[in-house]
Amino acid sequence: MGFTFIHTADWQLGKSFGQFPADAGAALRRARQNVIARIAEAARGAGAEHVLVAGDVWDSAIPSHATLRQPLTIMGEAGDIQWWLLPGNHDPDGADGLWDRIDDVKPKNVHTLRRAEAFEICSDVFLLPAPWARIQHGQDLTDWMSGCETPEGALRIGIAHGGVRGFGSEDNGAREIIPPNRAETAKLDYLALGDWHGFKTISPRMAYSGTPEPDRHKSGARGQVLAVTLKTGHLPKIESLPTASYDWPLVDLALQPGAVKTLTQELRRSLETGHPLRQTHARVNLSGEMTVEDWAEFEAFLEEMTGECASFDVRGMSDVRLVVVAEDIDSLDAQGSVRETAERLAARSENSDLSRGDRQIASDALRLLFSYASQTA
Amino acid sequence: MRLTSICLRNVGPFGSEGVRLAGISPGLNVVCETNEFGKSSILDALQLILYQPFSSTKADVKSRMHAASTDGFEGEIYFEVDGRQYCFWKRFLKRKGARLLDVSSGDILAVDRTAEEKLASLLRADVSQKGPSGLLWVKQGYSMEAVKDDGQIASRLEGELGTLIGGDRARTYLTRVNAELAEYLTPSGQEKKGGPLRRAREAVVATQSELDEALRRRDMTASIGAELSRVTADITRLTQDADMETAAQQIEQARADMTAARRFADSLELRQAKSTEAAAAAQRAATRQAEYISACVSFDKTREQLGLLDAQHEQSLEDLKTLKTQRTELRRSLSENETRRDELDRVRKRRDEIQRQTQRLETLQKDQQRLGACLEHYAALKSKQARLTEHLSDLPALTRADVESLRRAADEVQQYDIELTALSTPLYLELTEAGAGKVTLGENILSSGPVELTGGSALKIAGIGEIRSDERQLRETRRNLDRARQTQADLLAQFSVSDAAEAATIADQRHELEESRKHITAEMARLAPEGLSAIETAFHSAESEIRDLADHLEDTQAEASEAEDRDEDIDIGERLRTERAKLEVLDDALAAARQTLAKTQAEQARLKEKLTGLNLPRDLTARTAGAEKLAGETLDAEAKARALRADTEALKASAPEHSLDLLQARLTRLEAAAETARQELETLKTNAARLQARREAAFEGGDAEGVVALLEARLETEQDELARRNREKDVRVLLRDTLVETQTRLREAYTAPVMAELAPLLSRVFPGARAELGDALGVDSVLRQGKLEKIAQLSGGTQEQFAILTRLAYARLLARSGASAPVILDDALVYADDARRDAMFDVLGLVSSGETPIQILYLSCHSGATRHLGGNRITPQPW
Repeated sequence: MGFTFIHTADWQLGKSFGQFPADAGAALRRARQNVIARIAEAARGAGAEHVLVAGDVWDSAIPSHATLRQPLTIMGEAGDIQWWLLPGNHDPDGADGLWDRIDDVKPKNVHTLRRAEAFEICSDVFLLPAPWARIQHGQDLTDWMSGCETPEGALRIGIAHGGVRGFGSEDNGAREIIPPNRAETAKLDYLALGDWHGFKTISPRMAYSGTPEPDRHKSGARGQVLAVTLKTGHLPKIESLPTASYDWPLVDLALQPGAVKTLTQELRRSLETGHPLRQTHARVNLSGEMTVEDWAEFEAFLEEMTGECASFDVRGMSDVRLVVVAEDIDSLDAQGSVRETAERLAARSENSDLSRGDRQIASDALRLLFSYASQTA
Repeated sequence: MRLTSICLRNVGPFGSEGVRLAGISPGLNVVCETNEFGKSSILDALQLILYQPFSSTKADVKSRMHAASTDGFEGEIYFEVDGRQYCFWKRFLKRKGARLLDVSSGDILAVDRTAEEKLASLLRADVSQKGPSGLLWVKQGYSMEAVKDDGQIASRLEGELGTLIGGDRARTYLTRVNAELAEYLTPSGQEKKGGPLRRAREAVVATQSELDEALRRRDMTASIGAELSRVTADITRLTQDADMETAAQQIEQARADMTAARRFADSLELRQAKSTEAAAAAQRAATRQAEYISACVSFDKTREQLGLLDAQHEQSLEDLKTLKTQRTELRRSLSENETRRDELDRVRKRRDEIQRQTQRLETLQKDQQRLGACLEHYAALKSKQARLTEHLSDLPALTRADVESLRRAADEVQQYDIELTALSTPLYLELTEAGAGKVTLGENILSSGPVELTGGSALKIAGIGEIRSDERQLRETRRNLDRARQTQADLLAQFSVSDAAEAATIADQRHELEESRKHITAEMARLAPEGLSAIETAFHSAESEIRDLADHLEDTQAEASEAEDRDEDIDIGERLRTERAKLEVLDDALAAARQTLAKTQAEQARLKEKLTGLNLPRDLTARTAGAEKLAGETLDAEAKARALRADTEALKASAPEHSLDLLQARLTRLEAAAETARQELETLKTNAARLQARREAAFEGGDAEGVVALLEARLETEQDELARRNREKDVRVLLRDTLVETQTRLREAYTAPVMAELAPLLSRVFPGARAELGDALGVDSVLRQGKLEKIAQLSGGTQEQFAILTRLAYARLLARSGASAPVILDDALVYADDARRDAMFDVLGLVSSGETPIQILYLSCHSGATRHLGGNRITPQPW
């Protein structure tokens, strides 16, 4: 019989989502709070009594009372679950007094891991936390775990936040400080990591759970928690349990003349495999080239997706090269200045002596002319 | 396209019999008919047949119908395109239809709608869009308007030339892009208020401002937390500080130590005061003793000094007396010598005066001699002046001017005399024998023959009388001669001379005498400028002064001779200087002696006063007894002081460990530290409460960090939006500029050949003029004689002429491209003057002839005017 617990992290409660309209942002903030109840459900489903949150529970060290208390209330409502909260880089146990405030109001089943010492969370199961005391600590907070003694045969579960050396972090490597063999050197049965918002296994005994409710576009990422079962003498059993209410797909779309329709249809099908489109915040990074005809097709697709998705963020539109052929200019059904204008703009958009920005403006101006022509026709 | 004939029926004034214009040549054709013949109806019908669908029931079709006609109006046009003859027939309204035939074969090429489309193709026109026209119109009533009416022509030409400027499509795009740009920019290129670009920029600025405020709030919230932690830690530290508990005990101990120390200090102070007092008393006794001994010594010494001073005083008095005697003697001698010197000074002054008076006497004597000579000379001059005056009075009063008058009178007499002699009267004398010898002229006896009778002469006829010439000029000259002689005689009598030479001699004499007299008068004035009496007075005055001075000198010299000589004067001066020096030395010695005496007297007084001040008995024994008494008192006082000092030192040895000052400083420090800690704790608690309240308030609001993140994200979004709007603007600006640039370039390229065609035509009517084409391809402005004029500013007739010339230029251009189009002029040039009309006729003749003639159909109601036009005359016939 092993010991099963839920490993999660990076809730970042109170995150603002200012890049979205106010109502969409508010919905996303609510979703981050609502996921707590689903995590409790997942824990119950996995037979786990303990939920370990490996840092960045809150997005800020100075949350408002509402942002601070409401999640604690939800955790308190799940009284059958023990919640173990670790200060991370977003919510360090520093001078701001956040964790004092938490301790002042937290329900009984919520526990704060504010000291680097072993906590026995149940019989023969010890938590070895690496709490953050300030935003930049500049040291390996898991170092102490190697010297920490626990009773023979007891389970040792490390819980830490930050980047593992050589595996990257959410902060461009600035926090890559945890050694990748920490589980071995500290004789940990499992090291629950936070900071990386996607699910990532570092070693059989070290993993990032990712965030349960994604907050940014990430390729292939879906929000989840990990149900981890530990048994002495065995490697941990790690099971990913989906918890998110939104998808945040990140798609690179290389456009090709004449293939736009096919590509966009494929993209749509891919997006529809997850949550409904109305719960999908998609970002598409464009590249490649399109003909005038493709462009009209693509704009229609954009209009369609923008309406259906929670958000449909298209990047790199200006990087897409407009392929203009003689037939396109002929299709303008124009002579004289209109034709010559089209030819001039086409030449300008290809002129390598001009800056990239100027070429793109010329390309857009040509597209605008085609757009006028199509509307006039 | 070239028209060959036009047949119409049931249109305008033409009823069922119709009208037919046949035999239309490829060049200039003239139809000249009266008003209301129906020329304009022919043109209207032609246009409808060519361009209006046969199925049309529009008002313009119906309105052209012949009033009495019951059938629809119809027309048949014969024309040639690319060397092939066609006939196009069309009927509107009733039994309507259209038909295109090949004339040479008689084949029907197409009917109805197909026929119309085929015709449009032949004319290169789009029937459905009513153009472009295969004709170039200048219609009656419209010919006043510029060529811009012919939009179709422009399109047609664009097509023909292959250099379009984009037409309606370009205009539409340009209008649209400008309209879209107007949302972004003002006409001057500034961001438009309320426009998307401005709104985006304002949103960025506003959000940035909000973000700044949010950052401030976040930092404040964070700093409040940090500050609260610090304050709480300080409170804990202060509260738990062990020193706080011991501080009170330390203060109490310090206070007890201070009390003990203060008591010891009081005892010591008393003991020290007594010791000091005893030491002072011993000191005072010793001082008294020393002072007494010193006074005794001084007493003896002063008395000795006083004895010496008395002897010195006696000697000083003796010296002073001697010096006074010497000085009195010297002063007496000095006074005598000064008296003698004053006397010698007086003698020297008298001698100097004698010398000055002697010099004065000599001067006076010389003046007297000079004045005497002057008086003699003056008397001689006066005598000479009297003689000259007398001589002048003997001569006639005759001046050189008078002489000149006499000379002029003589000259005048001589002149008239010569003139008179020059005037002669020729006579011819025939004497009888009896008369011979009886006629004389002057001294000459005359015989028969010619005689020259001069003005002043007369023929004397013995026994009879004289014959004189009596001519008018001769009489006049003679009268003048008489008058001149009389004037001369009057002047000679006036001056009592016989002739002018004598008068000149007398005048010269008078002049010479008067000059001499003037010279003498000037010399007399120089000698006696103030008159003779002044010289005489001066002479007598000098004489009197000489006399007085001589007497005075005699007396003074006698007195001076008694004086001593100069050597004695020198000795007395030396003596005086020596004695004065001696007197000064004596005075100094006397003053020094007096000062010495005064000092001696003062010192005597001081010593006497000192002796009195010492207040000692004069007896030596008494002074010795006093000294011994004082020595005993001193010894007693010193013994007492030593005993008290030993007591004090003994007390000091039992002093507390710390001084009172040190204990006081410690107590003050401990009390201040305790107070500071108390106040600090109070302040910290107050601060903590305040910070807690502020933090609570901050957390009651939104997430400060969240608001910052939200605003940062919003700012990024808005910056993206601003960049997007900027880009949209840039894109439209580029599109607009490119459209305008290409239009401009193409327009210029397009109008160039038109201008080339127009220039030679224009020069025939308006020599030296140049026309500019506007956007609508009509003449926009005219440059004449260096002056640019808008076409609208010109007269109606001139505008019409420019419009016709422009059409002809277009027509030539079309003709050269193989797409010839007829030009129809309906009642054109009715406003032209004769010269312009003839010039325009020349142009019409030019363009309708040559290798690529333009077909012109000229319709007019002015038969007189069109007689000069020439061309192919067409007479309308019934159809």
